[in-house]
Amino acid sequence: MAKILIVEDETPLRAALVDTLLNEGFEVLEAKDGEEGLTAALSQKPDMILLDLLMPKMSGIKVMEKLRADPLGKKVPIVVLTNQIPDDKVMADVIKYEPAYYLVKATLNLNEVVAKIRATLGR
Amino acid sequence: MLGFSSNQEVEKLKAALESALAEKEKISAELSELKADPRAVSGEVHIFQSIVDASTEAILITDLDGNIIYVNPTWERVTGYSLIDIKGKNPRLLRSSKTPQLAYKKMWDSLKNGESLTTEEIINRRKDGTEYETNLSVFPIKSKGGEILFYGSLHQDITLRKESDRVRGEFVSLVSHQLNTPLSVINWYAQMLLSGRVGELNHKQIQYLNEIGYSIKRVINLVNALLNVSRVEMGTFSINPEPVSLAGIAEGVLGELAGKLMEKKLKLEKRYDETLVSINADSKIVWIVFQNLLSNAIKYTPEGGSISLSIIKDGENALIKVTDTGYGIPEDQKSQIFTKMFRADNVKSNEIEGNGLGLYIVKATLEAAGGKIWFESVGGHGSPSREATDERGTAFYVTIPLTGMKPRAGTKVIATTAEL
Repeated sequence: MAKILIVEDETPLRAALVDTLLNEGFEVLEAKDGEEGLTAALSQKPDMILLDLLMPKMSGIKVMEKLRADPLGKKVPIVVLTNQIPDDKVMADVIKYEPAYYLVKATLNLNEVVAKIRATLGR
Repeated sequence: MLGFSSNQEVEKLKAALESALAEKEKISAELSELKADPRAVSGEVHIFQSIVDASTEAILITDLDGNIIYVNPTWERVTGYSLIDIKGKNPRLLRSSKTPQLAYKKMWDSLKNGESLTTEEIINRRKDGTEYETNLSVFPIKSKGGEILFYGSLHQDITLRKESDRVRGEFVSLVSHQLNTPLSVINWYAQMLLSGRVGELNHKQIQYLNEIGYSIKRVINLVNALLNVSRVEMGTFSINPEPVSLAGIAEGVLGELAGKLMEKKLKLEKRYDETLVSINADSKIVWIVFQNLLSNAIKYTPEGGSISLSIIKDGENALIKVTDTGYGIPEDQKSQIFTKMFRADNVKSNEIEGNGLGLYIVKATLEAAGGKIWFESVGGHGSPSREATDERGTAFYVTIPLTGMKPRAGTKVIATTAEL
């Protein structure tokens, strides 16, 4: 079963994602900030990463930058989850690291996340 | 040879001459006083002097060579220079590198042509090296005969106003950001309960959770609208024109609104000009235009009514027209339809929801992009009464130049909102 890493600093949001993905039968790894996320991404080799942008210790953008610069993290599909409609500058940064999807948390439908994960893994 | 009829007349003339001499001496004394201290004047001049001194606008007067001959106390306070410091100097000592030289040149050019000019958002440098923002007006001071005697300038320190705009913008952005996490939590957990995974729900429980979900969307839309208002008012939003299909975007919006159209049994007529394939426009702005006009048309049209959408070429423009057979806009409220937080009385009394920000944002963004929006409406309460329903309703018109929207650099994009 596919292994998904969830990198999200807000505990209730992380817990909701963990719960939903476990229920869908995925193997789930979690990290509560960017640093933990980067370490887990490089050592546990997840099949896919759900990544928040604004986090303590290391931002999601920085995580993507480091991952894409590392042979181990170069290809891993990333779904970016963020708080709000990003400004042009942030969006330009995000696009640079080629995430599979970019989802806004507040309006998110959890079924849609699952569908997007399956679509990305199926590619 | 002059002849005098009496001694008395000689005396009169002598008195007149003396008084004229005295007046002349008084004037020259005043003039020399004026040279020593330009603020020490008397008489009629004193009235104007008092006004100028009390003015909260910074006022400066130079001679025709551009040398400062007078500044008022507000000018001294704003710039940090005293009149004694800068008398005889050129106002260019206030220039900062942040204002293009061209802006200063334009001001001097118009002065020399005897014209006034107002330039917005000039950045000047104070005596202590700090900078301040100002709107600067320059004007020639002319004699009754039209001869230019002096040059004057008026300016206001708008640093504080700018600062308060910035703080307000930051506040809106902080609040919206802080609201996002709890809103996401409420939204996600309501969805998790609704999924039935943690226990079967009865009909009422499902209904309640759906109400929660609906309200969350309203709050999210309000937050996005407030962000947009702040982006519009701070001028930080960008316009990124790219080739888009207006009909394609309209269809996307209609897709989101399909449920509402069905629910209210509304008839929809569409007309797309097939020769209008694509236009250079910011897709987010086009999206909010269709979203606002179409969802308003649906919201404000009673069940069984009809709505039409047409996108055609009209001269130099793409013309979008959205009509409805709805309640109409009351005559006495037509002038307020594009103002912020405005909601017409008749829609409030019909308990139709809305935050009153949509059309304000649409108009501001469209106009910044070189487009236009206007409307015609009949039948609103307060309009001449119309019996037949088909004579009631509103038509909104939007134009976008066929040459495309005007691009604009900015740090933020306009947020599009979720359909409720």
